[in-house]
Amino acid sequence: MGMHSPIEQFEVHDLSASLFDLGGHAITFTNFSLGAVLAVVCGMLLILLPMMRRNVIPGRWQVLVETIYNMVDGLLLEGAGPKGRPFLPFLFTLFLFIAMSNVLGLVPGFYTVTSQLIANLCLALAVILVVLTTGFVKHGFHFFHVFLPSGVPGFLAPVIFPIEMVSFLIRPFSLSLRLFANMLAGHILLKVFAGMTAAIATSGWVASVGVLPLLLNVAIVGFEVFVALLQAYIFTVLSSVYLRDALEMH
Amino acid sequence: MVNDDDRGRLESLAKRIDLARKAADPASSEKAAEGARVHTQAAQMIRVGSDFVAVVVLAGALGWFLDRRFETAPWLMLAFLVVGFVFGFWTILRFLSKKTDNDDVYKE
Repeated sequence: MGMHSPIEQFEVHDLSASLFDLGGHAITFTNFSLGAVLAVVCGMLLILLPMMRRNVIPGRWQVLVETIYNMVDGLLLEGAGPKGRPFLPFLFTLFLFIAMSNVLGLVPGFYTVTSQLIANLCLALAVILVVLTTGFVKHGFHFFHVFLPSGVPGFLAPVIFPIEMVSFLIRPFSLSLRLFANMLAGHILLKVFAGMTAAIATSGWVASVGVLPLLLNVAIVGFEVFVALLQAYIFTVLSSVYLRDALEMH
Repeated sequence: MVNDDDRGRLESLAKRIDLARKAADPASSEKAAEGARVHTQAAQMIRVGSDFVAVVVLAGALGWFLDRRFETAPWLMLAFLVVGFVFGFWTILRFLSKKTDNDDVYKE
């Protein structure tokens, strides 16, 4: 029986010959690149098309775009405070890209960009880079005090400093690992149940039982849409919370 | 670009919209702010869980890598996992005490 491995969907294939060489590695256009490009293009279309006609009384699509905008704006205000406003474009792009790749990944046959740990790690490192740059530009070397909260007795400083430093360095990993694990687990679950449906339905006398994993799969798809949007939301909220550390130091 | 004149007009417009909104539904803006606050807190809670996992996974990976380097498998990995667990629990404890002690962990 031709049952597919549930993790086969995460394999990266070349879609083109080598485009150019980068330090001895051939850079090709893969299904991963296609997924990322599609997420960017679809995200831009989703935002730009309804905003071509900026009506005072918005239509459905414009309401959708305005709702997304207001949501990101609200979470930025809550997470990073009013000083975080200049970072709205960055966080909006981040949210849109993650949400689009998560949701597009649920379409059968599409590659889920965020199911690759390295893609999420790049996004998270971009966030941390922005946080660090903002912190050092705004506070200079005073920014190191983020690792040494006020009120720490002097003799504890050599202990607290490395611990705080490590927990700061953990952030990009925890940020990317969460998104990665959620996407990976959800897609494997879908594939496993789909495989069960196929296996039972072709097994002869109990074929009708195969409808049970199918029904469950329908429910899981609905749940995965929720998870896809939720994880994009959490990624954005936590990025704005990290930004607050850099903007206002306690 | 937005110049200062426009900015002033935009701000007064935002104020008027805010007033009109409050007149229409007095509780709406408070409700929205409260919703955002609750969501942010919920996201923070989810963060603690994955912070714990991230520390353990990262420590384990580091130990595994060092094991391969120095051919001491599996001892360094086990040691690093233990350290990762301790640190992970410490992270959770710190987060919890932060929430109760008015955002100051090390206050007496």
